Amino acid sequence: MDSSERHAHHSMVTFLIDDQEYGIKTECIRSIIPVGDLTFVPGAPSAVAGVINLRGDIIPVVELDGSGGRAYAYGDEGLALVVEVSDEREDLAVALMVDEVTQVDRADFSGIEDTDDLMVARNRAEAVVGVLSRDAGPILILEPTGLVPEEEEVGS
Amino acid sequence: MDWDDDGMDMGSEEMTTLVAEAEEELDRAEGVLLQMEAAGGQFGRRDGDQASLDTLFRSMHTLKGNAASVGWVEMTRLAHAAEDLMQGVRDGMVTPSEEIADVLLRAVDVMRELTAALGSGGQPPDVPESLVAEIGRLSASDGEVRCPGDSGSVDILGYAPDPPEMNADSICEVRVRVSEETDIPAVRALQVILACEDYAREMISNPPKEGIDEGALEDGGWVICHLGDPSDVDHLEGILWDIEGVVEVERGRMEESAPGPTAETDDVPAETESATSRSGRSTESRQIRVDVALMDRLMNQVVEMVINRNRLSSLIDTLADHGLSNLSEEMSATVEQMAGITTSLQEDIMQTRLVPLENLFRRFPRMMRNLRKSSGKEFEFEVEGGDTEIDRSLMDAIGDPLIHILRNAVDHGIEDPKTREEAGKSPGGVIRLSAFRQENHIIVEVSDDGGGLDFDAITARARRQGIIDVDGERRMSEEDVLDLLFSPGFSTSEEITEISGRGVGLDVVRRDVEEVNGTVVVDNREGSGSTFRLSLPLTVTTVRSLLVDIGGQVYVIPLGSIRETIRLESVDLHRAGETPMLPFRGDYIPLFRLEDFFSGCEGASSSGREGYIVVLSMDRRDYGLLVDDLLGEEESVIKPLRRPIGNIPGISSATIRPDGRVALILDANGLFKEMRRTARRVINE
Repeated sequence: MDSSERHAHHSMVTFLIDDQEYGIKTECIRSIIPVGDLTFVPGAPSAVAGVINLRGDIIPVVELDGSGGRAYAYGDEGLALVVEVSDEREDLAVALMVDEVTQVDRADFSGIEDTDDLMVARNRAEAVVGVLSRDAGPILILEPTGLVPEEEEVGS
Repeated sequence: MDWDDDGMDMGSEEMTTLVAEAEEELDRAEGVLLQMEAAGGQFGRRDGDQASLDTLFRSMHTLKGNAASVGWVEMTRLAHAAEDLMQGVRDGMVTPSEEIADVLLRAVDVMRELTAALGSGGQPPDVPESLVAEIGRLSASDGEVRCPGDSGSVDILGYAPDPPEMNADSICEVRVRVSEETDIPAVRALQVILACEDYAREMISNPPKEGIDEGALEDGGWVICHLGDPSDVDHLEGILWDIEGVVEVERGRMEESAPGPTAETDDVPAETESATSRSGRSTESRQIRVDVALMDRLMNQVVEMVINRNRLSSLIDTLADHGLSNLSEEMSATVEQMAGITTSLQEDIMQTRLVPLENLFRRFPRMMRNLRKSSGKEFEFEVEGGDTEIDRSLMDAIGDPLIHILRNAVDHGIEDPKTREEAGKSPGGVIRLSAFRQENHIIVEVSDDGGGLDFDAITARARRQGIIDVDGERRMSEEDVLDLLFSPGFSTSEEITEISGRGVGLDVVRRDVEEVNGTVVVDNREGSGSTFRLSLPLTVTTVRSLLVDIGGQVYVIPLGSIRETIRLESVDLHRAGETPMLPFRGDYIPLFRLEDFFSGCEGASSSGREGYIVVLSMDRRDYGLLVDDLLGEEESVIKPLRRPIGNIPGISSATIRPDGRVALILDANGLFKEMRRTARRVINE
């Protein structure tokens, strides 16, 4: 393989959310943690399920499907990937609720195709940057910056 | 740069110290020079003037000494000249005058530029020969150069601490092996690597983090990491054994490549030494200069101790619940004692973070002098309460807001002399900056005796800028109108001036102040001025608070905003429309549920089992919050809420409970403001 091809290979963590497989670059993952005691934050953007304490840091927990399809109550057990996000404003971390972590593997990112709009319609499209086709089914590739919901005006 | 041949190598830390000290001395000198300028030939005759002259002389002397010790030629020359002149003044050989003050102020400006250039590595300005000559001319030209304070100046900046040595004994090694005989070995390997990354000072793994894939563990996966803190080893080991597929965790000392046996445990940690050994002058030998970052780390560690103390107390309760009352009693005696020590340690550390506001206030007389000259307005600038102590980070946070408010006072507050005389006032106004402690708050006020705020002009402008409509205006109380001043993009100045009113305004002031959990309000005295009042917490890191249960979730309410707690069943409520009203101290105050403040937010719903009313006090009025239960008081450690949660009105920050859960800290002012805002909007719709 030539260098440009090799360059397109990245380590990727794959996981399931509502039976859809997603992938995110391993380099962006800080932790894989059980989420137990979630604290609900009234007035926070709807995609924010709450906050957790990750060794003294308070980390917002986000759901990919922010439409309120699932509500995590105080005390529910879940699994989250703590994702590091660097955008134009600052470095921060968000915990993404997932159902199951399935694999860590190398993937050829040059094979990413544009997504079928229908597939991501129910997701927050800004987080999904493309799709990788595999025998077992498509993997939607997520971009960390897209996981941070916009701050909303309270009550609007 | 102008280093002479003896110029020493200066590390960046020494450089930072040198620059910081120079800035401090220049600030100090400037304060005295402004007094001298104002008093003219009278200076030196009043009480306290002699002390001021001593201060000024010492500042110049210190500047010179420090600059000379590192071979900073230009600075030494100028400070030396100024020192000579000051010596003459101090010893009564030269009469202080406005001229001397003016020349020395110019010298201070040049020294500031020199300092700034040193700090930033930029091109230093030339020291004007004419300035040095002028200072020389004003000096009593006896030419004798004597430095009576020399014995007090220590060349400490040339001292370079030994490079920090790692204490080889304290470095622990952990080796982990991951089996490939597990369901998803690659995921397990990643979990192990991530866990180690959290604790390791350095680590190596096979496969490397970026190289993990399905087949990577075929020749066995392993991680070796070195931990700087031995107490982390147990933590890490526990975490590792919880990860499926981990078959071996081995711990041990790092092989000693460094001179091991000589590294004694009672060595002063290198970090502490380098941060504390740079005391600037031996004249203040009872004080040391400590890196702010080190102070922050100390504070954070104490804060963690406070969290753990709270946790221990709750564990003892659990023990008692399990019938182990003997053990729990014995433990609680020990824990209580430890708690006492933790509390006093926390207080002491908090104490060390306190600095007199004087450090900030002395920046302002110069600024106000310049504003006086450029604005054409006449006013006295008075400063009071500079000895009030405040947490360092709070002082840093209110610097810009105060500059803005002071500029506003000149620009919008004080009228021009002619208008003042027409209104029957003296042509010169007064702007007063004052600080004092009030219960658990530090109050910083800027007041002027100008014309006060023009309500009609404020509402008219807000309407033009689309902040309110005609309908909204009619319903606005005086308080609401004053609140408009803090709206984004609002400015009352008809013409945009150099001084203030460039569109960024009081909204930024409010944001900065609220960021450190403070509040800002304005009082208006029509025709006779206005007062901006900043109210700041005593400390930035913890807050005494009441814990309450609302809908099964714990919330934290700072005691500073609570007036009283009342059992719901003990009172008769009245109603005003939809809002229940509580008779309270001869008045009626509205009652709210938390969900009222966050309309449309699922999850904040009430339980219908409210048992108590917490009466919250605001700047101007009280209201009641309905809660299910009161859970007791604690010293809550404040943790910021970051993006994407950020600024939710009514929720200022969060804390971590002894059980590890997060609890939100409510902000009484923010809640009520948000309530009024939404109420207005509902009515407008």
